[in-house]
Amino acid sequence: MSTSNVEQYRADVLVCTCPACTKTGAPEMEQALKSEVERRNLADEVHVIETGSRGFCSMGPIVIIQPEGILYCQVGAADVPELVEETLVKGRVVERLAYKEPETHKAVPYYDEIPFYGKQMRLVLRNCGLINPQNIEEYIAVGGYQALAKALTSMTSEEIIEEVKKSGLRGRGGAGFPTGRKWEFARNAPGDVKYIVANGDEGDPGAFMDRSLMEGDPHAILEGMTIGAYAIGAHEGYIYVRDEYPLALRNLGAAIEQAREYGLLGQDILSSGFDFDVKITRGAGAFVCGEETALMASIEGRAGNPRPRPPFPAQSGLWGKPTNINNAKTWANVPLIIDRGADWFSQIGTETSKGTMIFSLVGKVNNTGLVEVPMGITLRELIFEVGGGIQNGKQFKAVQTGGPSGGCIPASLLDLPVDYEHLKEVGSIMGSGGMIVMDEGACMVDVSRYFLDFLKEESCGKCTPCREGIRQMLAILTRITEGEGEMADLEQLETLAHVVKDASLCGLGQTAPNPVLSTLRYFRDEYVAHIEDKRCPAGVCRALIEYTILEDACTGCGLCRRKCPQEAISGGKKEVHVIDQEKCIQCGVCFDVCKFDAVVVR
Amino acid sequence: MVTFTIDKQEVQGEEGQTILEVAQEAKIEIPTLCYHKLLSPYGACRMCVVEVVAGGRPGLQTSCTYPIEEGLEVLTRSPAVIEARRVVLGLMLSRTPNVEAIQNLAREYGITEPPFPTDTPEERCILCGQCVRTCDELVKAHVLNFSERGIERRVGPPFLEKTRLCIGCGACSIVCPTGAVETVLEQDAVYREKPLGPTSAIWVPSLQAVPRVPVIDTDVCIRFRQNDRSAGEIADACGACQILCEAGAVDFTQQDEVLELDVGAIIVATGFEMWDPHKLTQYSYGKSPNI
Repeated sequence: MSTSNVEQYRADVLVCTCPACTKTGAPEMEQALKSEVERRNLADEVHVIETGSRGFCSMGPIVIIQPEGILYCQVGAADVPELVEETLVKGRVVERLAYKEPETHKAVPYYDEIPFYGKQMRLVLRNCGLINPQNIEEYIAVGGYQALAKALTSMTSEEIIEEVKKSGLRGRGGAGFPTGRKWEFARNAPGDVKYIVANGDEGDPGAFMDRSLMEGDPHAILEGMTIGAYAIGAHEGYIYVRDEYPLALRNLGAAIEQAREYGLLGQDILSSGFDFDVKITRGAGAFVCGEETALMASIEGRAGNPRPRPPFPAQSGLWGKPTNINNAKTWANVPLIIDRGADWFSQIGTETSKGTMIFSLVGKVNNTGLVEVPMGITLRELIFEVGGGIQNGKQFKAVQTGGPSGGCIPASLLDLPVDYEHLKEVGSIMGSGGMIVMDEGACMVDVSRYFLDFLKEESCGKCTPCREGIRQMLAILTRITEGEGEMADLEQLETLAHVVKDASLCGLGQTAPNPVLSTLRYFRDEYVAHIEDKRCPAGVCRALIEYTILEDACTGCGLCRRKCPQEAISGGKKEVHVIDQEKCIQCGVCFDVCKFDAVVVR
Repeated sequence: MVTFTIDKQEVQGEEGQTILEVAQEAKIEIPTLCYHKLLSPYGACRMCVVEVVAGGRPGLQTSCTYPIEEGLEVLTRSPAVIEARRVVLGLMLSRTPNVEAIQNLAREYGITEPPFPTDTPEERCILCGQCVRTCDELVKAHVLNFSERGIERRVGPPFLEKTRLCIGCGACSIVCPTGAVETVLEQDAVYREKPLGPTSAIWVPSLQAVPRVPVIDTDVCIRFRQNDRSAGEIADACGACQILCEAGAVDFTQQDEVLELDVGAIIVATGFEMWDPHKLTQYSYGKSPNI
């Protein structure tokens, strides 16, 4: 492990090593960087550092150069010599590697000026992409563990709980329960043996907020947990990490070991007399294990089945003992609150939802990635300013918030401020921060069907409404997308949806109907079109669409005919081509390859 | 004592009791399928849901798991409750259309036909978990459990293979509310014939038994068999009879005794029939005093 040397170099070159950038060539590029720096005898002046993700994932591999604050996108090994020559030696910006605004194509080389970052308030993600997560000294150098020192040496447990209560922090796992109150329940529960748990299961498909945090700044979570353990009176903690996150497991494991070495974890932390240590439990591939009672069953070595609450974990959790379980992001907020104070924290956000929220902004936006913004930002700002608007100039149709059990919100509600209450009011949830943006090409019936299919696979099967109810809702939706739906199906769908929501044992079943209920509320006409007209307006549901070639647009180039896997297109050279509907399987390849927009979907 | 209301009626219970326990004591009817008083509550069938309208956690909650709280207000037949039971029963009936217990309960809620198509009409298991909990908590053989998830969820021994850990007690068959569990006894399983058909391990041997009280057949009783198997390591398996006996008369520690009695005469009475002894003139009954 290298010793602290953050002041010796004249430039830091931060290379993102997250799985996304790794897939697009970051390791090779980093190797090239290091070699080039060596070759040019700059090794004593320029420090190449591996960091976690800075969130601008659609533009990876990302390289950030400090102290100038330059951000380069999509940097490949071949770009390295020019980068080193121009920026590191001559101090000039390489415009071709800078971020370009989608409308004007203007280069924006400075990190602070990129709109994606400009509207963000990166507090919880403050260190991600900035420090080397495998070196505790860097965390400490940027102020890490100051909050823990303050808590252990100058605050009582009650004072800490009061501060967290005052801050207004609410659980970032989805339910949004006030964190301070939750800690208080556990603190007040009788018994000497108590536990705390960090939920790093992050089961929502496509969500990677917790992952980025666990990979890029694991100490923030550990510090928060230690402070919480002290406040609650727990001496043992568990971090539950899904096994699909090997880098997070590795970085957390290394962080725990280093923290122990530095006396920041284990016995007699910072000579305060307080003992606390942490174990990592790996998940085994079940979405339901993100539910707190199922997660605890999993830690205990039992199958991840939820159980009814009450009693709540604060009364009876792991092995029947009082347990406080919070999402990884919630824990990472704690050092900030203790360090800068509840008053500072409660200035950010809205009346009921304080602080920032990390969203994974994905789908049909230009700037996909992780964004951290103050609660209360509107959907419009999030999608069109931070997100840079819809790809390819298409129209916004809907945004699904909160994960697979989230509701879909239409264009008419784009000015909705994003916080717990507002999202609930319109039939969605905050969830873990998923934000999937859809354009006119999305069929809302198909979207509901897609997520219900996921939830059906992931249901633990313990309670009848979820296990059988989701299955039957899916069957109805499938029939509708295949053109076999009837209007009576909509009634049955709604009846089922309400009972599954009200009578299911755990959050999985209770939120599973949200996509269906919200799309029925805002996009009912699409359902009706599928049922009465046997038509899919968005052109998605295969059984209901037809691909045809426009006579006046077709040039007879024959490309579609050659690409068609079913040999369903016929036509001679320079002749108008025709699709044989009997053979066509609606794969859409002809639509994709036609350079003349001659293929249409109806 | 904790005071709260069920259907606007004030009831009382001990701290730690569930809504269902107090309701049953107060003779308020709440349907159940996965509940058994000797087993830990499970909350899976959702039949016992009640609506919490004040205090506690609002909404539909399973009364079998919900610990009573001061000031709770609970409704056992609100529209939301009835609708939930009705729809859930419809789903259940669609899974197991040929199970009488489900047909009967569904009919009570207005469902006479399965509302959804059935994949496997011969299915009888409703995944209530009573067999699992019985084998785990009472018999302590730990043979049965759930495997797979979602609609693939099923009950059985590990890998659905026969295991010697099963003691063939048949307790799983006895508790199953739908007749889904069939105990098939193999060669070395212990089974006791009885003149009037099989009965439980604790039974009154005959109408003429002296004293005429139940005895435990230790060859068949789960508790004794588990103690034999594990050399006493599985302590206190089952014990249902002792828990249920209100007189507290069950004593598992009783040993066989040999009693020595000092008597004047032993009469071997192999049976009797009322008969007039005057007819046996050689014995002078009615003429001599001591006869």
